[in-house]
Amino acid sequence: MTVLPITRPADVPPLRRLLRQPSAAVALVVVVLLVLMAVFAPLLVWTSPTEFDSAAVDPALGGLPRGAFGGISAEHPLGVEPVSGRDVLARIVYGARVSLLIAVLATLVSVVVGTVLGLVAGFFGGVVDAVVGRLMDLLMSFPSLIFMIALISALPEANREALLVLVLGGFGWPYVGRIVRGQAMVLARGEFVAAARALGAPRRALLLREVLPNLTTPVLVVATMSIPGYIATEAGLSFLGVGVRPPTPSWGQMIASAVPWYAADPAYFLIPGGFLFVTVLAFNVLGDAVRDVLDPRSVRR
Amino acid sequence: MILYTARRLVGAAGILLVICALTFAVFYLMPADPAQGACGKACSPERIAQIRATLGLDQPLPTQFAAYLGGIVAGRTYGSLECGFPCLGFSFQTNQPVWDALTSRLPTSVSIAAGAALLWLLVGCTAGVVAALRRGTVWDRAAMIAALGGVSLPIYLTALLSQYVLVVQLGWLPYPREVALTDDPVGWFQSMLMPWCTLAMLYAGVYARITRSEVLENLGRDYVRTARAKGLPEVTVLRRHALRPALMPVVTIFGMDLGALLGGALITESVYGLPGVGKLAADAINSADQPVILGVTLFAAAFVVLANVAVDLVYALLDPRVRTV
Amino acid sequence: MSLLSVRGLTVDFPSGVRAVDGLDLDVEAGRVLGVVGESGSGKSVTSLAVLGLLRNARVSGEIRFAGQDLLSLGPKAMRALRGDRMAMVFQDPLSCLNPYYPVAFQIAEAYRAHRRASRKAAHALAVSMLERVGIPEARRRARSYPHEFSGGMRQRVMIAMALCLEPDLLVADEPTTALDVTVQAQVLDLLRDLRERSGTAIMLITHDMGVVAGLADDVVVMHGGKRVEAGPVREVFHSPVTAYTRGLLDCVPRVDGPLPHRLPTVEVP
Repeated sequence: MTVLPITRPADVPPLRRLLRQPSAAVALVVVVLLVLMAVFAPLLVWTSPTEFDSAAVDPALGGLPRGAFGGISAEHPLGVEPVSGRDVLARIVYGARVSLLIAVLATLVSVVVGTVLGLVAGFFGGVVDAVVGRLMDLLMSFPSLIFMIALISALPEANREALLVLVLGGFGWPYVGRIVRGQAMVLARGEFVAAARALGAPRRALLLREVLPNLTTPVLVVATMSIPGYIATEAGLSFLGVGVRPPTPSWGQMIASAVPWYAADPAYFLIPGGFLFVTVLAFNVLGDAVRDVLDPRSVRR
Repeated sequence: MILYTARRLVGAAGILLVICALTFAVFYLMPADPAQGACGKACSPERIAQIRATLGLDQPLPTQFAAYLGGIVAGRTYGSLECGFPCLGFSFQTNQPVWDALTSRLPTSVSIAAGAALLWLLVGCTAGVVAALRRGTVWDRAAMIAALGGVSLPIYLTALLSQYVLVVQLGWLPYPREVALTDDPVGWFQSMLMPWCTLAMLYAGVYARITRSEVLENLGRDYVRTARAKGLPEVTVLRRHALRPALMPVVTIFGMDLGALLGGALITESVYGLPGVGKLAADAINSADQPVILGVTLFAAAFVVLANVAVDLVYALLDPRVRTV
Repeated sequence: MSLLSVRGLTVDFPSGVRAVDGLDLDVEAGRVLGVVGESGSGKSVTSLAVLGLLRNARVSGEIRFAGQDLLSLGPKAMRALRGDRMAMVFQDPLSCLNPYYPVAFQIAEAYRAHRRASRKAAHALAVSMLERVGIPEARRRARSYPHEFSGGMRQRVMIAMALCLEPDLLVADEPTTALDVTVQAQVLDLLRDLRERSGTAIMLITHDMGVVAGLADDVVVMHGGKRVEAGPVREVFHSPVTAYTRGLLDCVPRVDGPLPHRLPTVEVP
C-alpha cells in the first residue's frame, strides 16, 4: 500500500504558525511594543503626565496650544493639552499603563470566574448547572454598559481602577463560562473521562487532570479575543466620565476631554484616538490569529 | 407554540424582576442619600427628613421595593404628588415623571437605533456573504480588512472623526440636531445620517465577520452537496441551502445586540448631543439623578429581555428542530 | 455500449494527493456494479467525480454517460443531468438532508429543478415517492422534518429523492454504512426491489463485501486509487485473481465456514 505523506498542521509549533501570517506578526510586534511602552513608561518619558506647562498654551486663544498640530514641538513631541499644557506623549504612555493593566486584569478575573463556574456547571450538571446557567443568562441579558455606568457612578470614588476591573470582569465572565461549560459537558461525557472514572479516579482528579487541561485552548482563545473588548469598554467608560478619574490619564478620558476642542484642536483627539484604534486593532488581529492557529473550529467569533 | 411563547414570557418576567431588585438594591443601598440628591446642596436637615418621608425612604427596603413595583404596575402617590401608571418616580433634577422623560426621548433613540440596525444588517450581511462566496479574492480580503477596522473603531472616535471631517472640514452635512421626521424629512435624514453610520460601522464589521464564517461553514455541509447532486441551480443551492441556515446565528446575535444597542446609542447621542434616552441616562448619571438612572436601566433591561424573547420566537419559527423540543 | 464508461480516470487534489489513478469501470444499463475497497481507496471520490461534484480537484481521463463525455460538458449541462438522469444517495442521511425544510419539500425541489410542475403537483409526487420507498403514513409524514425520522427512514427519503425523476443511473455511496444492521437489510431490500421494478442501473460504493454479494451483478475492486480486479460478482468471489481481493473476502466472517480464532488482516500487495 502506498503510504501518503501526511503533514499535520499541529506538527509545527503554534507560535511559528502564528508568525507565518504577516498580519499576525505585525500585530504581535505592536502589542509587544505597547506592553513595553506601558511597563517602561518612566524610562520613556521624563515629563510627568500631570505636570502643567502654562508656557505651551496661549491664554489669548482660550488656552489653545501654541504651535501647529496641538502644539507639537521638540519639548512636547505629541503636543500638549489645551488649557493645562500637560504633555500628551506622557499622558499617552502612562495612559497605556492604565488601559492595558485594567484590560488584562479584567480578562484575568473573567477567565478565572468563568472557568471555575463553567467547569463546575458543565461537569456536575443538575442543580449547580441550572443555577450557574440562570446567572449567566441574567448577566448576559443585562444592559451591561448602562448598568456599569450606573453602578460605577453610584459607588464611592476611591480606587476607580480596581472597581473597573471588577465590574468589567463581573459582566464579562459569562462569555467565558458559556464556552467552558459547553466544553466541560462534552468532555465529562468523553471516553477518556469514563476510562479514568472506571479506574477509580476521584472526582477532583477527574476535573483537574482530565477535563481542565483540555480546556486550555478554548479559554486561551476567548481570553485573547476579549482583551480588545475590555480596552474599548474601559476607554468608553472613561470617555463617559465614569472610568479612570483625572489626573490619572487614560486614553478614553483624553478623548472625552478633547470633545469640546475637536474643531479647534483636532490633534488632541486624533492622537489618543489613533493609539486606541491601533491597540484595539492589533489585539483583534492577534486574537483572530490565535484562534485560527489554536482552534479553528470550537470557538467562533 | 403558544405554550412555548407563554413559557418564554414568564421566564422573561422573572428575569426582569430580578434585574429590578438588583438595580433597586444598588441605588438605594449606595452611600449617596437620595433625599440629599432630591433636595440639592444647601438643604436643612428638617427638609431632608421631610423628603425622606415623602419618598418613603424611612421605610424598610423591602417595603420601598414593593412600593416601587406597585408604582410601575398601578401608579402611586408621593405625599400629595400623584404619579400615574406606569410610575418610575420623579426626576430629582427636573421634577418631571421619569416615564414621561423616557417616552419623550424615545423617538430620537428609536430613529437612531432602527436606522443604524437596518444599515448594519444590510451592509454587514451583504459584505459577509460576498466575502464568503468570493473567498480568497480581493473582495474577501477588502471586506474583512474593513470589517476588522470597523470592529476596532470605538463609537465615540468614529463620531468625533466623522463630525470633524464631514461637518467642520468639508461642510457636507449639518450638525446633527433633533428634527422630527414628520416636520422635515430631509433635515431628519441629514441629521440622522452620521449617527446611523457611526453606530452601524462597529456592528457592520461584527456582522460581516459572523456572516462570512457562517456561510463558509454551511457551504461545506453535506446537504449543500446533496442540493448540488439534485441538480438545483447554483443560485438556489446558495440561497436555500447555504444562506438560510447561516441566518440563524445572525438572528441570535442580532437579538443580543439590540439590547446592547442602547449602550451604543448612549455614546452616540452624547457625542452628537442628540436628546435621546442615552443622553437622558448620561445626564442623569452626571447629576446623580437616581430615579432617572434606575428608570433608564430598567427600561433598557426590559428592552433586552423582550428582544431575547423575540429572538427565541423567531428562532422557533425558523428552525423546526427547536419547535419540537 | 455501457451506460457509464470510465476510462483512465485520475483525480488529483491540490494537496498533491492522487485519490484516483487511471481507473477503468463500466456500469451496464439496468445492472448493479459494486465498487469495493477499503477506506481511502478512492471509491467515494470516483462517485463524486462521475456526478461532477468534486470541487478544487483536477479530474482527467474520460467519463462517458449514455454516450456523452461528461468531463467536456459545461456546468449547466452537467447540472441538467444531475438529479435527472443520474442521481446520488449518500452515506449519512442526517447530515445530507437539510434540517430546515420538510422532507417532501426537499424531494419536490429535486423534481422541480428539472421538470415544470406546480408546487402542489410536485408535493403530490413527493408523497407518492415516499409511499413507494415504504414510509408509513406518507401523506402526514411528508410535512415532517428530517430530525423527526429515524436513520433508516431518512435513508428511504434520500432514496425517494434520488429516484423521483427515474434516473438511468443511481450512484449510492455507502448507503447502508451509517445504519443499524437490521435497517441495513431493509434498505438493501428496498434498493433491490426498486431496481427490479424501474430498471435503474446502480453504482454501489461500499466496503462491505456482503452488500456486494447481496445486490451487485458485477464488481470492481479498488485499492490505492487503482482497479485491482473486475468482473461478474460470482466469478470474482469464487476465484479471486489477486491476493488483495482474496484478503478482502477472507475478512468477511462466514456463517457456514469454520470459525477462525482471529479474522485475517488484509495483506498489502
